[in-house]
Amino acid sequence: MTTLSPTDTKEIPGVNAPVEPVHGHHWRNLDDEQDGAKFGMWLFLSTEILLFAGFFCAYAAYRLWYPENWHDASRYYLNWKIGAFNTVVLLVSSFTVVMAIRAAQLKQRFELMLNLTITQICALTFLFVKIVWEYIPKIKKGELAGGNYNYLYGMQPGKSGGGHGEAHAAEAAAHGAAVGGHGAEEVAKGLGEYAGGPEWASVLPSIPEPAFFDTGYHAFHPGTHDHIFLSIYWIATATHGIHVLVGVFVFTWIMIKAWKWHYGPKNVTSLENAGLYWHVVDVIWIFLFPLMYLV
Amino acid sequence: PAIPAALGNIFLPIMLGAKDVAFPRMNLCSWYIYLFGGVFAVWSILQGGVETGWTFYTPYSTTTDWGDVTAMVLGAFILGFSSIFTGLNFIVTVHKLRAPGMGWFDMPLFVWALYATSIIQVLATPVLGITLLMISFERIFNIGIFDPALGGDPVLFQHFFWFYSHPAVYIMIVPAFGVISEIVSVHARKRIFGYRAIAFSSIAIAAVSFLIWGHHMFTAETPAANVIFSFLTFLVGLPTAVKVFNWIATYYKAQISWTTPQCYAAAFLFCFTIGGLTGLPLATLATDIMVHDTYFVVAHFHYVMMGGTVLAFVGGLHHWWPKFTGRMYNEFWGRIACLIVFIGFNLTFFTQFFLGTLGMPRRYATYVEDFTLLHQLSTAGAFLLLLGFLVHAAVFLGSIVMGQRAPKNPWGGLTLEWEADAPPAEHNFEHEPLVTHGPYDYDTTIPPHWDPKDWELPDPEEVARVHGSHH
Amino acid sequence: MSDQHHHDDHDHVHVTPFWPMFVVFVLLIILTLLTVWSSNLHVIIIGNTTLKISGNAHILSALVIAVVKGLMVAAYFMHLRYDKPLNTVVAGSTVFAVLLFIGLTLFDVASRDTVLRKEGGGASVVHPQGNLNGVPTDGAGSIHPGGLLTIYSGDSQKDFKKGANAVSIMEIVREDAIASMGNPDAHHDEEHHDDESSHADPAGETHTEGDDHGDGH
Repeated sequence: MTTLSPTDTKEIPGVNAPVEPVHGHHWRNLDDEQDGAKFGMWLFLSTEILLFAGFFCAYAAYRLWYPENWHDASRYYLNWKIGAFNTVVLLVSSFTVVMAIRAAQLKQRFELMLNLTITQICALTFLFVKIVWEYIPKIKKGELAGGNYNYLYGMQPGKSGGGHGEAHAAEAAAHGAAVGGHGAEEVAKGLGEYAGGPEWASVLPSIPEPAFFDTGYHAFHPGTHDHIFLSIYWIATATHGIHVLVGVFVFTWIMIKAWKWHYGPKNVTSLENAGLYWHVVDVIWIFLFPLMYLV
Repeated sequence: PAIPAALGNIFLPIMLGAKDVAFPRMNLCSWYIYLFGGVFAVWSILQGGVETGWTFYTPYSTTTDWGDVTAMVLGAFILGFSSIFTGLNFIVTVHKLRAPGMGWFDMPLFVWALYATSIIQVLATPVLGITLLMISFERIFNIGIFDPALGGDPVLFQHFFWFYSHPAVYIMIVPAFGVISEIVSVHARKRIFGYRAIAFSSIAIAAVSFLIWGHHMFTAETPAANVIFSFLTFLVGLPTAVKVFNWIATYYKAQISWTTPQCYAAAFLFCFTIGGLTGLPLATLATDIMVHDTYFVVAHFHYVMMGGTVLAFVGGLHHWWPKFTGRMYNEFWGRIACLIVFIGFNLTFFTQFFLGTLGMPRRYATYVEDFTLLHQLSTAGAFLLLLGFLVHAAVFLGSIVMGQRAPKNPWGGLTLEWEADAPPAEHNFEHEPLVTHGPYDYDTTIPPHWDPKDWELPDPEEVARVHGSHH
Repeated sequence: MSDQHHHDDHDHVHVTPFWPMFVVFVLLIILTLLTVWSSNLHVIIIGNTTLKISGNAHILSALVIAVVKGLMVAAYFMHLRYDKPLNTVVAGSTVFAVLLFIGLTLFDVASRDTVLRKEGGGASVVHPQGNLNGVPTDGAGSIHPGGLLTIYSGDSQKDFKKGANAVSIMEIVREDAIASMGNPDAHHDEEHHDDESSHADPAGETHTEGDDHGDGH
């Protein structure tokens, strides 16, 4: 394809050929440095995995206690089609990172930049879909985490204890009726009042969801611990989303280095390390998707 | 943690014959992160501190307005990364930057200890990170994962917290074990007894430390879990005991010189053994239920932490003082200070064992009159301890101001740091250090009846010339 | 000095091969689709026998598929298969630490009930030690959601909704508990079937094998 061969024009490192790598002088040779860098990256990734393990542990504990609530909440609050779409997007981006590494090893500059670009586009698509069709609608409807959730069973958002269900429900009925629609119905079922989303949410744009994301499941089936489900959903996916965003910045830096001919057969280490980070982000999503969206 | 951060950062590369750690910029970054996190912590203290204690039990920690818990929690989260980066650096350095000719079993035991510590740091600290992050989310965004008022579970928090915090105490003590290994063999001028046993026991302690966090929660978790954690906790005493026996065995037929570091090592053996043995009633379910959250626990962990880590740290400081400052310190006053610290420490904390079994709860500001005498003895001991440390400060200050210049190898050690200049040159060594003997080969390397101060370590170029090319 | 130890080990550096990676990618997509499909599968009817797949079975299958996907990404995309074994040791120890953490914590968590749910909503006080026998106290079945797989065959097809005459493979261990509790299992199934009936099609009969209209039940 586009590999340069020695019989072509002279290869000038930095201009039309990869730059020669130089190892730091506390390393004995380049191999040690590159192996060491990859090993160090794996150690860092292990810390990332253990970080997310906390979210999975909290998920497992609450799921064990409230399985039906979890199942119903997952069906109602989360759209599995969006989740599946995002999963495929991340898998594509993982594949293109691997192809980018291959392109760098074969000195294929065009394929390298192309694959890195696709990776970036996938990452940004993931974030876009997540924010626009998951986070913003949830914020507008008040499906927030923990104490901010608006359908609490007799629990006030804030720090007071539970158990005030009946007294609260009466006030709630009045308020709910004033806000409109849902209030009376929910109160009849013993739920708290529906107060809608926070007022500031009205500044957020509202882009209608494309038809193929529609799952047709709209019945509201609340449970006593929806707010915990949503808490775990929000903090786990938001932390994951921040890691995707960081990945976007990392790959921007990588693309700049790639443009400057930094990568070649003798040196793909920082590209590989960025790729390792990206794969970990992908694997975390591979676990998060079925656990949150499908079961 | 002080020993890996302070002594480890200086001496891990030198002991391996490396010019620097594997990722020097990450090392610098970890220092800046430490400062940054420290700012949050100090700010929190200035706001009134954290009434929750370092354990941050929910729901108090997620709902209280006392002091500034959020700042402290965020500070600790940031500091966790400093710890992770150091651990990561050390692991890669030990794997990749050893001098030619130095295999795994030619490394000093301090390095083994730091390696085991780094494994714990890398695997345990992220879980603390996520726990602190979740507390911050609870406080800032009112998310109720651990708050029973919002349907959460406070015992879940305790699991999360102690999964890190138990290995954390091993992060603090295992490097101390490494320091003691060095001091005992150098100042008794004898090969350490059971090198491989001590090396493997460091790794074993690191591994087992992850299995036993539930012993902090015996009064909060279910009986089934209690039984498992109690059983596993007994296991961790085994590798630790192996080390203590080996150090004592090293003294047999050794030429013990009572330098200040040696005094500290002896004090360590006494205090740490008491601390370790008092861990057994705490691991036993029946007795722990009675002494949980009393002064007995306080006395136990001070014996292992202060009587262990701090004594080893101060001993290590004295041991390597000539190396990193280039000056000797006053031996007489150093030993006096050690004696004062030892007496003060035991007076302070031994009485607390009695207080604990008599029922005095911890973290209480007031107490019944019956406990007055013991509390007063303990306080007197604390002042004595302060005096001891003040004498130390004076010794160190005096050394810097007017101490005599130190030779490269004042104690006659055989590990690589004693070949470096005092203080070490930039990049530690002038030329690639040569490993010609093991780290504790006193019986085969130094001629008998020689004062080690008179014995010159071989010149690497000379050896290379005589023995041909290295590696 | 930097060339002193330089050797051309990199000549044998492994160039990432295209086809294995592409095959792995395709398999990952297929497994994703498989997860989605199997999560929508609730009832399998084979002739005279109806297999009701419980939530636990869904979690198990989802986790198994996720683990397989994760292993494929780690071995191929993350290059562990072609790397030095040390990197695999790091990844393996991490996974082990995660399993240890989640496993032992769940061991404690699973042996107690926490919030008791009252009918009609409202939450009551949290019991930290819970019910030490591990038996759900109000029959709400929060800890024992019904094994993995429940088989109804022959005559019991009609009694599918009522759950009578059901032989449940994975629930054998609970027979004592069921007997002593006055069969909360039926109570539990009733609850569950209320959900089913309030949603889409009123009767389970219209579900066919492999049906996955996206409306949940």
